[in-house]
Amino acid sequence: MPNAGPQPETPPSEGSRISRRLLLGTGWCGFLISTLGPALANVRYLFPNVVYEGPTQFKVGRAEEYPAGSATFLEEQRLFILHDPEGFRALSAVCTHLRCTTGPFVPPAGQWKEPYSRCPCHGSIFAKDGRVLQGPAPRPLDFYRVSLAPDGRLLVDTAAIVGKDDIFKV
Amino acid sequence: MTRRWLWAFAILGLLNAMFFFIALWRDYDREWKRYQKAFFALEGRKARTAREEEAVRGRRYELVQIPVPGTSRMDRCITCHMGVEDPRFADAPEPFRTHPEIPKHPFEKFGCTVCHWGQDMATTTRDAHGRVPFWDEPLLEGEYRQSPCGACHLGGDVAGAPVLAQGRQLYQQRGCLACHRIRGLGGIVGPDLTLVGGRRRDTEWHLHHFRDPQATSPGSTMPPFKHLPEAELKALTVYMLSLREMPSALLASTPVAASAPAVSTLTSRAAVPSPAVTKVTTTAPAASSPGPADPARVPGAAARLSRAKALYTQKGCPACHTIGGVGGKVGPDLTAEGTKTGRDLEWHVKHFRNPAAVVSGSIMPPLADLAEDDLKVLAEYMLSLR
Amino acid sequence: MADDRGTSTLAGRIMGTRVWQSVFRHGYPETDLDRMSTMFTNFFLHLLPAKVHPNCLRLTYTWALGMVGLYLTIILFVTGFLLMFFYIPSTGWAYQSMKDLQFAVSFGLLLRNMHRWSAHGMVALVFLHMCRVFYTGSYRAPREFNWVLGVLLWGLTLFLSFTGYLLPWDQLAFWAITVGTSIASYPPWIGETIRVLMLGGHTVGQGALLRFYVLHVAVLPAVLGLLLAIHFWRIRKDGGLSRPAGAPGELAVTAGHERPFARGPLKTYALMELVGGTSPMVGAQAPEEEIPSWPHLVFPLVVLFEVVLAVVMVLGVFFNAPLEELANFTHPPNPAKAPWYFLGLQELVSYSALVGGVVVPGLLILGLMSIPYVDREAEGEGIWFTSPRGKRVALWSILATAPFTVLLILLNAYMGVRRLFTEAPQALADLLNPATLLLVGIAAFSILVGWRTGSRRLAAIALFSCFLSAYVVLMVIGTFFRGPNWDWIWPW
Repeated sequence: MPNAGPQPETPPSEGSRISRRLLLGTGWCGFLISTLGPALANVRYLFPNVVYEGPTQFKVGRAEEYPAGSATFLEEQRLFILHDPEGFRALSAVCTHLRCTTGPFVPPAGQWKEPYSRCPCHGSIFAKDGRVLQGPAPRPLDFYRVSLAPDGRLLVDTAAIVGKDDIFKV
Repeated sequence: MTRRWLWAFAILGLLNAMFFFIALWRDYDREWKRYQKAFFALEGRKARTAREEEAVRGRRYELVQIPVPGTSRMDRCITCHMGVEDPRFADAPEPFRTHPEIPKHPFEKFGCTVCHWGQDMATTTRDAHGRVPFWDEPLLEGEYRQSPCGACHLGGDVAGAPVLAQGRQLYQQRGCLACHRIRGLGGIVGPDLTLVGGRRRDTEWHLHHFRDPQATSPGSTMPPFKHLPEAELKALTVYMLSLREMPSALLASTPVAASAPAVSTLTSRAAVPSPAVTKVTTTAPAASSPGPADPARVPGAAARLSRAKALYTQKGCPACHTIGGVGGKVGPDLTAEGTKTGRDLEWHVKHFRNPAAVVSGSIMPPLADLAEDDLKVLAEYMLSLR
Repeated sequence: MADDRGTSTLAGRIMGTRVWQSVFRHGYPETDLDRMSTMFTNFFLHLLPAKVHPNCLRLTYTWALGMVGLYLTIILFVTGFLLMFFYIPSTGWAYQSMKDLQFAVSFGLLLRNMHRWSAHGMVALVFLHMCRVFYTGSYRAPREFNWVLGVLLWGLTLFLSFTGYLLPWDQLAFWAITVGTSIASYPPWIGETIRVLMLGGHTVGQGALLRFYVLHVAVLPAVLGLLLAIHFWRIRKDGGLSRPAGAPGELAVTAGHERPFARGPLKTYALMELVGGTSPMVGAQAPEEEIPSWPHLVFPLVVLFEVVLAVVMVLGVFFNAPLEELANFTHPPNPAKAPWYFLGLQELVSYSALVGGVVVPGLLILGLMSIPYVDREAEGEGIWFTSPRGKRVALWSILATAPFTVLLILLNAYMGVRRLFTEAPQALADLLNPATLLLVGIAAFSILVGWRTGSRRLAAIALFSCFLSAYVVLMVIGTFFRGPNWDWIWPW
């Protein structure tokens, strides 16, 4: 609409009349809420509520299936089940550098004086307690919580990260 | 700007803001969250150990689902029915009560809807229970809950399904065999009923049809059975509903080392474990990383297994053979077929081609129309059954 | 205007109809004046100026890199649309649909190859275009914002290439994206959130495939289109391509233009309001130096398109785009490499994920965008390397950085922090590694140049040239000298 010059002011004698500023202000507030609001809601929208990935908790068989002193590599679940004299631990096999699956544990060789796992992607080397012996990996491997499922099998929860001294005794 | 425009601007602004907040609220305030809230409170009261209390504190409102392997079912029932696997809730009110234990039918493998029907993907009570338009499998009630057992357990007495057994008996006793055929047995006057439970899922239709066939199927020559007592008609309906496609992926087998392609069978972020676990054991001192020659790690082994299972059901093998309690009793039980000595891959392939030549006196029909690789795949399946 | 309208030929009769004349209001132009008039009445042609300064037409000035980038974009859009009719963005079907395109679809293999090679070409050429713009100092006022837009467009090109890289769902794609998204998760606090947003979950799966697909075919092309439109608008409003200042006509090449242009009737703008500021007319500074775009610009542009098309066709016909085995998350290939344009980054990340993955890229983007605001000098715009001294600085920077980079890497291989002290804290390893030392070295060198010469432009040339050299060297190392377990290998 063509601007024909300054608008006449609200006559001060009509004090109860709602001011132009209030109307504009309300309008703009409403506009901002109904545009910025959905924009933020869209961000929330992008975060999924259900994911079609492996379950974070799963049973890994019975305690008897893991020989004493063993470090069993579960390839699909990407973790090691360590059966020490003190009990069971579940060590992540996801390299902390760029998330490749690190290799199975092999006996000490060359410069490595303890069993070690080597990541094929950039050569990070890990010890059985998760420590980084070499390589670009910035952090040690995580340990997951081990517990007992109601049916007596071992249950690993990859959503629950525990310290390396958290050992599950059967 | 005239005042009219200003008013329009202000009012529309308010309206739109209001609609946004309504939308926000509706998305936030979900029916299932209320059920979960009640459950967490109940769980809190039942917590005794430190670990249980810690688990309660860690509880968040979230959708929980069981992907049923080998099917496209995504059972979200346990989002509200959170106590089904926890024995502490045996005395709790529904929907939190513990589900009675059914041996060999773990939740993580079967889910809920395979046996109970209902709409797996839904997250509201009404939709999940499936008594809504455009959903053909509403929640089963009463004795009809025995029908799904019959889809896999084709023969003999099924524990916990007496009405189904009665229905099977009545089917024979009341002469249905004379006109109808199921898995090759019976007359050809009426339609084949092998998969009728998949076509006609409405219990009322079956009852109506028994009572007055011409009303539901005009031109039918089937005599009315309204003289039968209500209980018998119900039992027969239970049996009819059980006549469906068996989900072959749920057949028992020894887990195969899965070097399968990463085709996503939908799995979930649920508190429910996955079935098959591949093991590569390295014991200190002797390291034994599996080499590429290890047959269990043949790429695609899992894919071949599921193809074998599909063939097994498609060709009607369960009609005569049982694996893990599933199937018929005409032929031998195959549950531990892989342990039988003297039967290698070659033996099985020969047997499939001409059973009578390999096992004298066998009445098994030859699998004539299968390709060489299909026979091999089935033979591998037989060998895997331990 | 001369045309056949109204004549008794068939063409004449068709062109005399109202339908025709409502679409094509003027006939085919025959005079220069008519041609220039068509340039701004035609929707497609009005992207270009009606008259153009001959400096823009010098191949050795721009090397036509921007236009080639645009043409590749067009080829990518067209081939991309066509590929969308067969490609299926599902983890169960993607690989199969790629095989179908390769074997069962008419021209499927050719289209896919053209798409892939154009994509790689575009990443390289957009980068070279950025180098050209930098070295000719064409980011100076009033073109600062256009430079910033250009940096954003380069980032978009990389992101488009990255999202497309995943779609074949083979081992190459899957692991390149695993590595790439893991690098993206390194920024503190927000890194993991960025990764979850990109993947639609926590692992590379159906969620990631779908999101990358949507980004690749819809969101990013839309943003690219928008930014490109503004980029071209800005070129027009900033007075066309940059050129060296000189006496009128001194550097102008008349390019065989014989006839002087006749001044046509002046337009009147009775409806325009009066506004302050300089005239928006392009080339208002020296109109007598300019020559009509049609044919002197338009025709070479058409020929250029043919050149680009020919190259892409040859590549598409004779070289097949790679398709390895189906993606398998249980079997990372050894080694797992990012796409080639990120390999230099991956090399740096193999020393320190924080420095290589976050600090360097972050500083790079910010640094690039800030160049026009740091270098405010006036001379030398429109001239490659600004001056003979600039040429020397650039040359020495490039020549010195290459061996410096190699030296740092060799030192690290033999005397790196982790090699000498295996228990060293991560912070020390982040501090003393080729990535950080390279960064520090280049920065120090550039500051030194700037201080000694008193010229920010020369410092900028040093910085840019060092970065260019290091980028190429690192990429070569990452491509040819890294093998299984990311160990050193000789490429022969």
